[in-house]
Amino acid sequence: MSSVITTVQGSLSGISEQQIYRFMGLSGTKPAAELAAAVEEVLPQFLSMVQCRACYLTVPVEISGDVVNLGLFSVNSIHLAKNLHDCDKAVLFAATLGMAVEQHRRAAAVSSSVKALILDAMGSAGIEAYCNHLCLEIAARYPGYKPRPRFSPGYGDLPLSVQKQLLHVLDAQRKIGIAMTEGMLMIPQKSVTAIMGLGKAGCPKEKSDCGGCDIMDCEFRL
Amino acid sequence: MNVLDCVKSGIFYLDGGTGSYLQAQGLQPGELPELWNLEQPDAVVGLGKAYYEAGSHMICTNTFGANSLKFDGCDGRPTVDQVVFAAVSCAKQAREIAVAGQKNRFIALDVGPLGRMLEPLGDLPFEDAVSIFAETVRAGAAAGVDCIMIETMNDAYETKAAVLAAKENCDLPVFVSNVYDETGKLMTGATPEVMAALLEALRVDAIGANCSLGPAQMLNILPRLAASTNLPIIMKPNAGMPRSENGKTVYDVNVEQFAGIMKNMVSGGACILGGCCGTTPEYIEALVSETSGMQPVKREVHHQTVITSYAQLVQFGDAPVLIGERINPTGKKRFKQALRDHDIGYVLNEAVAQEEKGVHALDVNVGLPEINEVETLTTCVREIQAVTALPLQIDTSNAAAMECALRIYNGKPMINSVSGKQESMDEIFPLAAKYGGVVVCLTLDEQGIPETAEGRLAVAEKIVEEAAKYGISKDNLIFDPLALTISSDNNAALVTLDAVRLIRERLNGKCSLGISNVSFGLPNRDFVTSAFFLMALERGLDAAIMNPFSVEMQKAYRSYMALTGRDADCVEYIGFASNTSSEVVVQGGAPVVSEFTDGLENAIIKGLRGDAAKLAEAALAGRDPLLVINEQIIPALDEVGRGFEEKRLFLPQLLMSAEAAKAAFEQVRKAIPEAETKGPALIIATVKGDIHDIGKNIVKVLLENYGFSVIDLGKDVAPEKIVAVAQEREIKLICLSALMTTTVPAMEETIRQLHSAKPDCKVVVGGAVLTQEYADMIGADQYAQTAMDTVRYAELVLN
Repeated sequence: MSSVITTVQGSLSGISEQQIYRFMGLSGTKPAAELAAAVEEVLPQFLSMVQCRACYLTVPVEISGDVVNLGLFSVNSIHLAKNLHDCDKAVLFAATLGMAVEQHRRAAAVSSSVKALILDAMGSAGIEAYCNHLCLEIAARYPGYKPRPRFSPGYGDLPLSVQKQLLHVLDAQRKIGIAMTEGMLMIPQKSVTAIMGLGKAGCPKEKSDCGGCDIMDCEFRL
Repeated sequence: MNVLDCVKSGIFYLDGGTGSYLQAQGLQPGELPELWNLEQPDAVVGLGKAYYEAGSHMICTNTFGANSLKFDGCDGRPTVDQVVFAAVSCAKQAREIAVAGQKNRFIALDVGPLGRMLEPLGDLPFEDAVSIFAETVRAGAAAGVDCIMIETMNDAYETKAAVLAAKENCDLPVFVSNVYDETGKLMTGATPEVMAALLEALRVDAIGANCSLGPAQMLNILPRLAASTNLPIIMKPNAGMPRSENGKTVYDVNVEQFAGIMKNMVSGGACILGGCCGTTPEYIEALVSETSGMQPVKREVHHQTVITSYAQLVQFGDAPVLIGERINPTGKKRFKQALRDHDIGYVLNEAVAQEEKGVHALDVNVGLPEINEVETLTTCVREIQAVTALPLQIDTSNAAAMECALRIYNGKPMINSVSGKQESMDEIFPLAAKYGGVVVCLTLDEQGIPETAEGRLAVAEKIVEEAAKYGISKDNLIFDPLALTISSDNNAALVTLDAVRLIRERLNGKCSLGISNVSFGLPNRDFVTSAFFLMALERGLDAAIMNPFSVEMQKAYRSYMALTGRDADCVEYIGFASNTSSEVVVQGGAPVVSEFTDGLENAIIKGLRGDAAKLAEAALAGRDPLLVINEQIIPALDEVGRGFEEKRLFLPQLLMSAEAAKAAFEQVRKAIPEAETKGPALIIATVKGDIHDIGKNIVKVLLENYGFSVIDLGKDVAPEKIVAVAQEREIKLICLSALMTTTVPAMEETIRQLHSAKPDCKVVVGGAVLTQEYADMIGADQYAQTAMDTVRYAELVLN
């Protein structure tokens, strides 16, 4: 088994404005001109501060019933077992946009809650975009394998405490600077941990990113 | 020979990686390497022995993560003491059995980061971090190490906590090494120059870099450290980047390449060398054989007067340094009220607004007789540092408050102030020696303020002598020859200006002035202050504590910079002057609002903050302020609120309108007594363990719009604090926010305590994870799905 933790840096070439507005709670409606202008003004500042980093590790997958054995640890989760069905490996990863965007958001919040909200939404859209890009990049290193939708602690019945295990085995604090609070929040806040299954066969495509989630009245649902 | 003597005598060799070696012996990702001290000591001893035999003078104990957060002695886990003791035993055994290598061999206690982020970015209080590090340091010192090696630190603040713990709990040399990324910064923004200033101020014994970078990239950090410190420099790079090859980790810089680049480290000024991830005893052996014939280079001694925050550095001596004076309650009614109300938001606004005006540092003075200055100053310093990276000047005459603020300050501050009075020097210099900082020295003593420039110079000389006794050099002193008001003594300014010149010329000292005092009692004070400022700059003034909102001061400063060749192509001046309307320049008159014809209501509905403020000001000219509120601002807000409730408008628009209304309210409040605009009070807070505050802040802005007096207790607030404030201020409504499922139990506990201690108060809860069902389960009186729901409930309960 390979136990090499790979660290990568990336850049965020751009993020979709649609996603930014989605995370601001616009529910698919068009933003007013004033808001669009504010977003346009803030975006270059945001992009200049982003520092994408990630670290990942590939592990073997064994599933028996609801227990998923990821080589370094096991977890009990019906939803993850379903997600990783027919996968013989999985990539464990942690990714972050870095601390500068977070510091900038805090400073902005003093004089404008609107700007803080915009930066927060950009952070959410940004880390999503980076993870999507990163997953494709990692999957490309495994010819013959197809990636499953990434699965994070807190999705379905996968406990949030798995976040702690992921950060720990990935040595994420040292490699890319993700720390965790007692309440299991990651710092920088715009960070993600996830498990991405790699299977020989493809899997049925979900209708949208939200397809696997059962919170139907979520304001961010696509 | 001790460690420091050995460092002075030639190139000093450290060890290489630990993790890579132990992984080769079977350590799995996620397995705690420190446990091997107890469970597989032979492997740990073998590693140490190999490094000694390769030529290391000093090896680090296998205690990178040996702290009480990981080793608490519970559930079968060992204690910190056990882990550290075992690790030191392994190192001692290795030292004994090694058969080749250096004559002098030492053991360093390895101290790595805690894996938690300190407040305010994270949730670990600074003093908790100091205590955790202190336990590890005490265990190591008791077990008999020779040195404390604080390494792989990617945050300036955590580094400071570890250094204080080391200094306070042992007398051993302290080496500190940080992790810089490829942009040359720590994760939280510090540059090598900032770390050099901070660590030299804390009086550590050697500083440097390790991990993250390979030797070639780390070579870029070296000259920056060498130009900023007089301390010995440590370089401990990785063996390049790791990759996987047939299931094994391979690094891309091989033994020969590594040793070759390390040679350049020696010629670049480093004298303490080793390796980090991926380096093995072979790397160290090659390093030693390649460089052991070399002599460390003699480095030039630097004299620099610098202050820093956690990320920015300001140097005195090149261009004038502007220090914003506005965080100071003297003569400011609104500021005093904010301090009494614990309204940190007001103070933060002053900080950010001054930064926007281009100051380089901020003076922080929160002294008021009726408040607890120790607590207020500490809180303000911490919170201001959460929103600005400007270095701070800590300004208090209360020594206890000074010590607490210096302790928790993230960086190397300015200390305002000491005077030539013996009592003052006895109080301040020990603090400056322990925590570091540039000390502002007032040229007055027991006999008062000398009337002549010569007299003030003499006091300055006395202060220099006394400071030297504490090991504080003139580099870390800046003299304030005191600007006195010319309306009471016509020659006051001349004496001060002369003193500036004398201190510069004869003492070769740096000078700062609290510039505004000169014009006290005169009309249009800024005219005089700015002229005085220019005169002082011409005599060599290095820094001024000044009002950055004064157009006259800005004019003087920008013009001075352009006139003295410090503003390339006059870019800064042009930027400033083309954005300053000539009417302001000539008269300081009211702003013009002609371009906004749509009316105040429309400006609020559209969320145009600047326009709303100007239009409110215009509306007030001919109207009763209460009519402006009730017939213009409130109806506009209601329109937006309804739109939001009917899902025609969404959160960002609601918030933009709220901020526009807030700007309009601020104008109205200037026109009427405060009491008339103050509605019923309520408390808002994010619960213990939760550090999200965007949602809470949005609700706060809206509640304020609707006239409520909002007591904002901030984020990560303990239930006890909320109960105490609710009781003390007799609050009837508490708004609680939580974002994570993991913090909902804290919300439940807060509700339980509130309901039992203060049964007449209602609790409304909101936040991403909450639902009606959840709210019922934890005993909340009301669930608010949106910000407007909270407003409506507050109206129901309090109006």
